[in-house]
Amino acid sequence: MLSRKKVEVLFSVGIVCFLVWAIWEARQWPAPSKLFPWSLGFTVLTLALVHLALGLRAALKESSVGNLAGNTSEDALGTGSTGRSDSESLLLSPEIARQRTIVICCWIVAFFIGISLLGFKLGSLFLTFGFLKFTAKERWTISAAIAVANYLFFWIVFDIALRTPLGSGLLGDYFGIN
Amino acid sequence: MLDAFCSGFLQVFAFSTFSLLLVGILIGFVVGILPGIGGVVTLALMLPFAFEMRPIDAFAFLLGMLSVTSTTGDITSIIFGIPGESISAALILDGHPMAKQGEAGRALGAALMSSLVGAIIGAFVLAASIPIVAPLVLTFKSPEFFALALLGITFVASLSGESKLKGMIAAGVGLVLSLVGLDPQSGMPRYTLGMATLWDGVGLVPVTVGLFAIPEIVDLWMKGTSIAEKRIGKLGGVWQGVRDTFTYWGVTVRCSLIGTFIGIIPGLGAGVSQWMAYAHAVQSASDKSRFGAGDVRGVLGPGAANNSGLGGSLVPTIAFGVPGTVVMALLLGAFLIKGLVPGPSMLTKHLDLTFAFVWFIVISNIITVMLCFLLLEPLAKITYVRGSLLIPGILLLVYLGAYAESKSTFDMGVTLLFGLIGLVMVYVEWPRPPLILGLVLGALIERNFFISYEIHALGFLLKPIVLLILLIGVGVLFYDKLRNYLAHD
Repeated sequence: MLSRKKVEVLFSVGIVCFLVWAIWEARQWPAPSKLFPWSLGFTVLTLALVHLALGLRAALKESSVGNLAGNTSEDALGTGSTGRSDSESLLLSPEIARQRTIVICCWIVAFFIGISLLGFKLGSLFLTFGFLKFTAKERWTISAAIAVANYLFFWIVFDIALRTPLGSGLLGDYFGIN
Repeated sequence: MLDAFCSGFLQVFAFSTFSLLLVGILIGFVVGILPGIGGVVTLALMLPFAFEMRPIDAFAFLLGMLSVTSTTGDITSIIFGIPGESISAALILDGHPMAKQGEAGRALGAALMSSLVGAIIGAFVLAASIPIVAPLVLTFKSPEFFALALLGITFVASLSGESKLKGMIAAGVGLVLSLVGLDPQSGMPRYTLGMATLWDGVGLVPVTVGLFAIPEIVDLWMKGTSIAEKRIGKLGGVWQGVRDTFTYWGVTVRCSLIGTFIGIIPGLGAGVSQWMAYAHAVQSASDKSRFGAGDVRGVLGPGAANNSGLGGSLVPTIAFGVPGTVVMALLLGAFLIKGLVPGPSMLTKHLDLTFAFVWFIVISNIITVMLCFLLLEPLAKITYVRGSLLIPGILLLVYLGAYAESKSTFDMGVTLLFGLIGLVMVYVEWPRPPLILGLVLGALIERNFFISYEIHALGFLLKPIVLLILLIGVGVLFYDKLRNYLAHD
């Protein structure tokens, strides 16, 4: 498990990589086009490297203290993934918290894929029902009612009131369903 | 002029005009709440309906609609942490934490009342500035715009919370992201990864919605409770929020003026002014500890600024036919459709119509705020509904917000990507607002720098107004240090 400090170091490494890429990409552009990206890129890269160095030092310090005192898993990614100390998520065990984080992240991705494939109307129907019934463990009636309400919302607002249908998604277009 | 002012007021209450104003308000109310469908889309959709109307009726309909979108956009920012409009994003920073603490009513009350005050100030600045606006608007050219955008960047310090270094890096990343798209000089694609979709750049709405809303959804699921973690009073203090607007009247008025002034300057708009207003609210506070965790002043500032901008942005549109924003460009289209030529005739021959615009903004905001107050109880109650029941709807609104503006699945992917980045940023305690500020201001800085440089070389930096704005920027940067120093003495 990664501590908050180590995640921050990884995040800083990501930012440094992004900035290096931005500077590298600009190398063959004509001078006026690369002037702004380079002057900006090098400045921010310097700041990001300073921050990375500070973060690395803190992470090394933490791991040396951790080796002495025994590593605690309280600060591991998953114990309140949004980092809120006042949230009830801190009452959850790290394992449960990590599982819940993974579950909701999977649903966030699933909604993206589902809407892309089925469009908003059908997507809202199936995804809402799936989330409420199988993940939130709500009753059939509540799950079905909210799913239908979401479907009707998109149909009434966009198809009828605004007359700007939101598209049927890739599968919807392929099979001609909406 | 007084006659025209009164005549404009009376024209609002003609039956057909007032009815169409109400229809516009209702449409604006609904679309303002829907994330991503902002003033631009609504105006584009509704413009054809204005063809058959009399000029006064057409503008009652269109301005009534526009006036309320930013007010109702504040509601979703506070309750769900999803900006109803891109110009309501700054409301999330303190409004949503207040909702989570059971103070949704207070936050909504503060947002609505500050919006009303902002709109009224903006409208009356429009009325008052009509005779004197010409020299002001004509003074501002690329060097001054560049200096104003730089001034905006200096507010990063106030938006960065504890870590200024993280804030500066986040703003820098935002600035780099703003470079994505076609180079304004050569037209060459930059950082587009070979995708034509990125030629227009990275969308502000998908990035904002992803960065702010997705971490809130994860947090809501983790807690396993409702959005509000505790209940305070019957309505969570709506009247307290209204009183806050007047308790902190200085913040409300100053932020309204910031919004109005930035609205007057073509090319900036409420997307910028809301962040400047928020930063000003933070900076001018003696106790900053509650900002970001639910300080009502963080709601009042952007609430007032995003609504006062409409009056301001109408000034150059009416007086010179210079539309400062896309919304104003569409409205300019409405002028031409109705056979009205912006410019001197709007200040002489059609002066009563121009003053009627002022009254449309004021009256539609008063009606909207009254309507919102009637609906506050059910709105605030949403924050007490079990989170798991709300998550599917919020997720759908998140992706709708990303999709609606460009009708592009790609933008939904951008939201997903920035949602995950936002999640990590919250976990490692990196400030997110500076990234948005950088993204908003980057294109303005680059474009105006190059135009200024082409015309004046580096001599543009010595122009009096540029120097004045840059000096204000230096003042903003060192304001805290100076105040602490003076306090110690």
